[in-house]
Amino acid sequence: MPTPDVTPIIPELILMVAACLVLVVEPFLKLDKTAVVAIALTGLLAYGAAAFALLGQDMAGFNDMVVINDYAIFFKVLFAAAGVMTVLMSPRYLEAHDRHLGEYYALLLFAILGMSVLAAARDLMAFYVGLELMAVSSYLLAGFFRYQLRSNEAALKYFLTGSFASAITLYGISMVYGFTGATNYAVVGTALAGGENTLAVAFATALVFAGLGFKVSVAPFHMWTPDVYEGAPTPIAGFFSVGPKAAGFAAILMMFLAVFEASVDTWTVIFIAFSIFTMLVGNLFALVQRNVKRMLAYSSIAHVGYLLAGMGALGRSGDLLAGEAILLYLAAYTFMNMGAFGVLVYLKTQQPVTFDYTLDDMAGLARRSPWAAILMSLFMFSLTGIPGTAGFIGKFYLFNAVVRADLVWLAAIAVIFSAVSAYYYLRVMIYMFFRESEEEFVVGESISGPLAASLGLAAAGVLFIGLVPARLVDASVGAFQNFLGL
Amino acid sequence: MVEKVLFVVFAALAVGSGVGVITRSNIVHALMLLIFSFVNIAAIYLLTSAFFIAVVQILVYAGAILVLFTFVVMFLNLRQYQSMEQLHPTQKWVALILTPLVLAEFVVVALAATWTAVGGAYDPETVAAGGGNVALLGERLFADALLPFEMASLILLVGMVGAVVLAAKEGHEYMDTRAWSGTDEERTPEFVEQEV
Repeated sequence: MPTPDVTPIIPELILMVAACLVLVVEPFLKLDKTAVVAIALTGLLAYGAAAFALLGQDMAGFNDMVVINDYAIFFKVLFAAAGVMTVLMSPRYLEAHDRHLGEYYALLLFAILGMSVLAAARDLMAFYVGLELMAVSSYLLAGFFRYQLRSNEAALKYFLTGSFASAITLYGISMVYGFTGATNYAVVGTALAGGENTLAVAFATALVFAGLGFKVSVAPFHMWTPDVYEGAPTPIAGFFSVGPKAAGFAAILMMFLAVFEASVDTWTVIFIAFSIFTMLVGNLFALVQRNVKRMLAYSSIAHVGYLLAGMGALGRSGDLLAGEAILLYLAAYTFMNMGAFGVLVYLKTQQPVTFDYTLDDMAGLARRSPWAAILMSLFMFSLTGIPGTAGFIGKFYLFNAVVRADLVWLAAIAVIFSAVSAYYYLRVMIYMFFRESEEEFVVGESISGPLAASLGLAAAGVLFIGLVPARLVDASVGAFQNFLGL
Repeated sequence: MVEKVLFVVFAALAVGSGVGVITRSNIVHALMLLIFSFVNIAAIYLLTSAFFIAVVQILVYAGAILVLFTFVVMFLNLRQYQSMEQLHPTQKWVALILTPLVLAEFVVVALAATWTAVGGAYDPETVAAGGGNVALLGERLFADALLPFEMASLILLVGMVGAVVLAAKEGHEYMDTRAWSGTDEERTPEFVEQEV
């Protein structure tokens, strides 16, 4: 039996070694977990660097199950950035909750490994195991604070609904396998294009859409999102809002362009309809939240709605622009949302007892901690889509692509909802700058170095993408064109 | 001839213990009979040369799943329900209608379907030449599907790590400092155990 060529999975292997090292080193440590954090961080950086070094490669491995190309590398680098920010945010936060265990970092690395395989998969089997690895690690991370009822609730809800969604996806996949007898994306795509079972294929498409839609929290499959974000440790909630979403969209793009190419008319309509509903639900529910973490959860649903509009445009026009805009948006979204959750992590570490993520807890922040207030404002501006920030660039390219696909009305709806979203994002700023805190506030301790680095990275990302978008635009154009040359 | 006799013996044992599963009122006895039934079904798989499925049947069903059942039953202490005839009496009437319907459906499908073998790459001759179905399956699994196989092992590893994270006892340095965590301040492991 020939030895398989491992080049396509070198970054993943690095990640796996780092995760296992974390598990091996952890039992030898007492309260000081610096070594574990260092290993996790080094592993993530090496993973990103290895992916970056492979840029320009285009090869498949393991019986054509995974590929390494610019598309996969784009997502790997994105996951590495999200992972680094999460790891940097975590140590002080977990110490404040008396639950600083090495397993946390190992699970995080395994989740990223699953996401990475998901984005690189070219085969339904590899796709599914990647999805499951990501999901199982995520359930555990959501329930990491096992003494807190909210964390238990988050884990249980995420686990039950998530396994149900996985099973639905699997059912759709099994139908596809039944029609075609193959699991390779390209082979399945060709076979489905030549086949007849149109109604059955449409059914399978809908099943896979529902399963993946759950993972990226498309309304009406979004019910778990606010509860899970609220109960999960805050760095993990931030990670959930960007990592699995980006991975989910990487898989959605590939699934629907390569596998379900034949039923493009069906899924375009599905995506457009769900896009409108998701934007509506996300934005309306975000308006009434007084808990900032829940507000960010609903806002993340709204952002998924915009991305779905991009998918609809892609299906309708087949224009490269839409796919590139989705990648760009995901990158911009990663930095701004991680940043917003990072500020919450900082505030919670400062006042572990009293801070409960409500708007009232944010009152008077500008006076107590001006830097935190300024950074939070930057991320809120970016999430709203104010020019000069990453959020604006993302929305600009995405809505532009929607208009180009002759869906002016859909772009108009998206812009209107963006304007609505300004209300709940800017309300956070009003509380921070113009309301006085009701209780006396004592500054606990200055910000920890890693957390500051994490927030700095997020802010730099937001400003860099916002002010000099050319580099990222080039990267996403290259990545997406390369993806279509499958 | 020998095979036929063996088949009848194993099938009778499987069905007999299956009937026992649903008639025993002691749930532990029922579980033991279920394991026995599974083992007999595994023997029938062996008779049809489906060695791999036979092994999986014993490992997964008779081994893992039934052990899990037994543990759950023993933890939950179901003895108190033994005396009760039936928890939901109305179910009986629904079952009376639904069961014959399902049976009729099975019979109709079994009679109407035409059974044809699907011609694939593996007919009995090639399987025999390749060294039996276990060997062929192993080759496919470790050559063509190597990546998903290894990924599955990672998923299992994550499951084990998760069990430790969620269930392991913590050192005492963590215990006393949890007072601030709001409503759940008394939920130490001991407290939870008492509750259960």
